[in-house]
Amino acid sequence: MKKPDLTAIVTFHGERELAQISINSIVRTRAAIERIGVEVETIFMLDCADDLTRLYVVNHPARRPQDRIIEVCYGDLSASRNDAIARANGQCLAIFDGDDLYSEKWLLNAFLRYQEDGRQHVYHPEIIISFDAVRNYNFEVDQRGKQFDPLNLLMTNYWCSCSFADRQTFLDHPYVPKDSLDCGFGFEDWHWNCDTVASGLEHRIVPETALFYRRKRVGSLGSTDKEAFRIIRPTRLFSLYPDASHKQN
Amino acid sequence: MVKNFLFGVALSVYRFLSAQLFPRLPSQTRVKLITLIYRLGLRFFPGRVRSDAAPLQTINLRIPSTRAKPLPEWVFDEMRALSEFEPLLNPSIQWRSIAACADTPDYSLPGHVYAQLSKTVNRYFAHIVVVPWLKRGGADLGTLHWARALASITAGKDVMVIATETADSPWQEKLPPSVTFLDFGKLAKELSLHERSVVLGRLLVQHPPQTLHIINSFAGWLTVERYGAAIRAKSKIFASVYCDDFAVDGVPRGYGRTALPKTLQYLDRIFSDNTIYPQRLHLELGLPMDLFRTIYFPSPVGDAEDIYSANSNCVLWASRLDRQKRPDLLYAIAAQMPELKFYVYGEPLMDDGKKWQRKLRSLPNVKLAGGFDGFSALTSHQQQYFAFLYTSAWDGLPNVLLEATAASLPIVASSVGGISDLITTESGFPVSNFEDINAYVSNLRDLYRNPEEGQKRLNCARQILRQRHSFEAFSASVKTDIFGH
Repeated sequence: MKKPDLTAIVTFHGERELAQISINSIVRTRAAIERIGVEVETIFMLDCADDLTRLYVVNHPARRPQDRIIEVCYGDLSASRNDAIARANGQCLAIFDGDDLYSEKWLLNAFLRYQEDGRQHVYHPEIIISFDAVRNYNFEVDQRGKQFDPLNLLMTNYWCSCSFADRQTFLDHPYVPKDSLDCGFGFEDWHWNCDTVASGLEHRIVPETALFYRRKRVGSLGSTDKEAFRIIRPTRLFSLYPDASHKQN
Repeated sequence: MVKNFLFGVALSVYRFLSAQLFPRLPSQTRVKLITLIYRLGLRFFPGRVRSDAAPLQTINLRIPSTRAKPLPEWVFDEMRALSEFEPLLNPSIQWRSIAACADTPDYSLPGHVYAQLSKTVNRYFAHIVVVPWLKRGGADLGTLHWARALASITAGKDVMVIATETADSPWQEKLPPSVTFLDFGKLAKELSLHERSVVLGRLLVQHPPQTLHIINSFAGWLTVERYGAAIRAKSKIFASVYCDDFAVDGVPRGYGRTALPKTLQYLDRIFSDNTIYPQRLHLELGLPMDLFRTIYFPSPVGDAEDIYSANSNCVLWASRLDRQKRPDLLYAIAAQMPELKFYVYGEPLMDDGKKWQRKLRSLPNVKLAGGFDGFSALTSHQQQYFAFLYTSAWDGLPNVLLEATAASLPIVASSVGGISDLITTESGFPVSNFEDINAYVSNLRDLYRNPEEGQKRLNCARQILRQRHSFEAFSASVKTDIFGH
């Protein structure tokens, strides 16, 4: 059986009615890439999903028989993404969040860039438009651009979790799962970006693509008070001398 | 001197501008201007600008020039199409006017400071002690004791002392040669307190020591407050607190009251050099007693020169001339006792101290001997005394009392803070109300008239020193409490 060209991984937790909005948008960007003959596998990852979220995902009218719904209970975005990555069959993978929306050409343009530039890159949308509780937008930074400085990553995260890269890239750089909610570490995407930069991968921007990032006031894992004072785990990017401590965490 | 003058001028100009000009400016312009002024202040007067000042919070955050860049039209087309699923994305005129560009800022300076740490932090350090600086002072002496004990116990080169404030640390030379000193405050002189805590937090999480010990470092406390949960994943966290500090308004302050209650859940042990302060924090703030350990600082009896003479009519007073040590009490006591001669060592740190220095100079029975670098400097003048006088308003267990005891001087001292751990009616002449001038006078008079009683009490104090304040006892306590054996 021919392997799909691309696997779209969408994680859900407690998005409830927002899940169907997100799926609509993902189906739209998927349709655009499939028009040029690219075969897309879709994995809907339900991680400790509540009943309403499951209901929306399972019964979504756009869901096709070959789309895979996988139910797990890690209660952890990193662990459920890693699980989905291990199960993915596509040559390249795209990571989606179950409450965000994506521009129509996101998958298409990212795939075309991926084919052109080879595999040593991670792709992100050009623009992030935040909506709902916060309204703003930002142009993401291309690692080959003047604005990029790896040491900026100590204070701020350059890139969103919406990433597109070769499957092997994700296998070589798994997201680090959390130990428990109270261990003080956080920002798995930020950490992943640091680790991938340290390993020599380049984060590139795909022109004319956008992520519509839902900013909620309450209810998401990222909205706890303590979140502000979490810190990313040890990463090779910030090793002052060669040691293995970042691997132990 | 010139720099002090220039700082004074700059401060006056700033105060004038903040009163007269800033309130009239639009808020964005005001923030930009204040940020610029603070940056210049940090650059030209490092160490003089308050590191916890609000405008410094994110001083090195720079908004990129693309901030005004509008969204391209294709984005609005997308939003229009997606609003079919999500009405919130309808790109109404209102949305266009509300949404602001929030590009990732250029915030790389803290990262560059972090990278510079690799010059010093180029190998593993098992024990990290975080202090504001290392200069003359009781807490700094305590840090030296800790560093010496850790170095002797571990017998390796894996102890590092980090100074977090932008200040000189002349006492780094007193550290054992095997201990590494990181002058982080100097490297981070352009960073705000917040930024320092991020850099420090990254260091501690990235290369976690076995033990982290915070001693009076604001940035250190803040780092534990923010990232304590993460640091604790690999490191034991200790802190030392010695006594309260009191503001001019008489309200007790200090890290024991401000930082400690916020970080309690991350601390494995809290050390103090006396038993009184932990009890006070327990009774007044509800901090659990079993977290505290008293480890008395070492002051070997045998090392000191004997400067006591029963025939002398001289009293030694040696401390900072500032409001904590109450030179005003010393003045009143000396004025009432013309038959005695008072040798006063110590320098004024603030204007108030200078005022009392001038007043003390006016008394014929007071000899102002200037600053001193360690108690041994006082014993080298062949001057002999019959008593040591201490008039502090608040304190831990001051090292100078240990050294005066080692130098065979009976002590008349205010019974504040941890002083009663050493000076009781058995071992000295305590003054229970530290402002009671008559009590100091009558104690000094009793001691002067009755040297036998003085010697009896001194012997008792020296016995305490021998039993409790040897380096071996200190080192053994450190071993038990830090290493658990």
